[in-house]
Amino acid sequence: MAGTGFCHQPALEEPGMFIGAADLQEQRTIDTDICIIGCGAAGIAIARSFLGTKTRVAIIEGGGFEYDAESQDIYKGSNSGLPYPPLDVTRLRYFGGSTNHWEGQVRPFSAADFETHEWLPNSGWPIKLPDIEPYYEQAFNICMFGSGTYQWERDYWLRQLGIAHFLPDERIFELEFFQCMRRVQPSWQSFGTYVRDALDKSENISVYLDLNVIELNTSEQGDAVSSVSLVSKSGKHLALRARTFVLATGGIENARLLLVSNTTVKEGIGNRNGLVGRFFCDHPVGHAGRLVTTERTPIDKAFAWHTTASGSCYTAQLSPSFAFRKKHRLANCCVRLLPAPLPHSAGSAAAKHIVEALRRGEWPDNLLSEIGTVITDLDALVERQYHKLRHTRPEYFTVWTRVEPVPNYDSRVALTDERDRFGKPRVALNWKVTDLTQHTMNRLANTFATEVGRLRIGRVQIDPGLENDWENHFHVGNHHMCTTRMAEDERNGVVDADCKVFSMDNLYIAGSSVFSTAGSGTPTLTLVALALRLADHLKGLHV
Amino acid sequence: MKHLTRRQALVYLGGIAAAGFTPAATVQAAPSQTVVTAAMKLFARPETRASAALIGQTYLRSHPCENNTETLIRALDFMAGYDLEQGDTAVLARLYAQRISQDFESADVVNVDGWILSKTEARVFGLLALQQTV
Repeated sequence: MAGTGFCHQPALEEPGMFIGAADLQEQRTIDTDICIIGCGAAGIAIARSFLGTKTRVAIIEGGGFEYDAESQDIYKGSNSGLPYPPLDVTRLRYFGGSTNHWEGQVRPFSAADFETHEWLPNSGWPIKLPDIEPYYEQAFNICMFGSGTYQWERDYWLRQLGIAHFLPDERIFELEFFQCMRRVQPSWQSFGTYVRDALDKSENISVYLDLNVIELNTSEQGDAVSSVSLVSKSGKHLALRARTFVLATGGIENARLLLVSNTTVKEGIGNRNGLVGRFFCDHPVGHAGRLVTTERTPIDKAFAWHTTASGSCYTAQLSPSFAFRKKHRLANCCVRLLPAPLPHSAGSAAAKHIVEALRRGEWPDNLLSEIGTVITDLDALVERQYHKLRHTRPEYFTVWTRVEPVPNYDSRVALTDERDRFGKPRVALNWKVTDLTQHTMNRLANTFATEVGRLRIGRVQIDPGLENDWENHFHVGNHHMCTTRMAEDERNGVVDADCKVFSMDNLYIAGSSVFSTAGSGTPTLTLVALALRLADHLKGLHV
Repeated sequence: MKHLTRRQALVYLGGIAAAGFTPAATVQAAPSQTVVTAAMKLFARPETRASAALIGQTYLRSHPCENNTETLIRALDFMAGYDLEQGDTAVLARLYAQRISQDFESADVVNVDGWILSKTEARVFGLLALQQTV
């Protein structure tokens, strides 16, 4: 790293331990090689890459090892956009970060997710899948705690399931599988727990807990970070100097910390073009409808959770093929089927008639006519009976969808006049989605319904809320993305292909805030892979 | 209840062509009531027939231009070639299933109260609805 002007000073504490703010002296300055701000998936992945090296790494974590309401309060903010969970609920502020409420689902982005598509505004990354692919398997091993099989071929998983004939029209849908470590599994552990011992035994990595970053201080020219100002919960002020800084505090907080760091750079660090906090997005997810089936076995198998010998889990989803999305100018998206139990009713009797006959190897007379009874009776009864009968064998499926949010300049994280207990401006979120995002979800639901009919596995009822009350109908994945987008140049983003903030010599960003686009998959595997790639880059600078 | 193996069941729904037969009366030439009677054979159980008619009413409300027997019969050409008076109901059911599949294949579908149905099945339901109101 050239031009930062730092001279090395010995660390005041022996590196290689967890250090609480209470053990630090007031006005102390900590020196290190790399300072990682944030101890979530991205920060931990980078730190872990430096285990056993000669590079001194300090990680700053605002919280402790456990949830603490006082610390969590720092994350409060407002929202003037689409309905969104409270900002102190949608993320977590303690060791492990938001992985502490992570569901653990992983699947790599596709090659198309990185490409520019003329029908998708602001699409395209400056890196492509081959740039990140070498890091996916290592990221997978971290995210899956060493379990699972790094395998994404459809036929491999179909063979595991013994499914031969449940294949959608590949011109329209691709059957994909994703994996996870589910919390219900005995082998599940939190991300933080998984790495805690290794960090604790490290000789070159120090984790500072309960230290809050007040501001990133820059050189006079504003082209490098010189130190970070820190304050403990009890009000103790400290500073940390490093050769390289990595901001890894999540998609909302990364933007906030850049914007509040405005003593030298008035518009905020990396914000010369006003893009910090812009393009905020999350995955709209929602129940698009319900499926009643006449041919259940392959669906049961493909869309249920299955456990491998190593304790990992896998299940299926359907995604429109790239050709289909291109033809119909859609964003990326996927559909999953969640089992829903059968209510007692005349309609359910008809459905049972179908299903039980099939199980006996019989075929009910006029099968297609039975569908009518099921359909006409379904609406009033499903929801009422759902919870009452939740332990029964499912006979219906909820059609669950997740859509790629189209990058939207007007959707943003900004600062408010309200301040947190350390005097730092709180976050104002204004989440917006484009019409294309809504159109994609509607089109996905209708296309899936038609494919279900073509496959002769049942009929789908589209939820009227998709058309009539879309904004209140969907939920979110709690995936905070794209607020410090990666781009070819600073007119279009905040970080370059190496995740370095444009115009800054020594400031890097890790996490899903650097995503140029969001894809339709869960972000954690990709953000960890990007973090590992960044770690490799930093190793080259710290030899 | 007819006993079928799983493979037979798939063939049944798959609409694999049955042995050829010579139609005695075509749907276009047949009296309306003959067609309606044939369509009702698809719904052996009274409750399924009633359910189908209920859906049919909804379909016809949203497609008023099809709210008459003649128009619906003209549109239900899947019965063409089927012996409306002497034909085996299983053959008719197969033709019905085959056409429904074709409808979904070509996205010739209709939204009835949110349900995405084949245009053909919605029209058959409509025919039953009109029959009930006669």
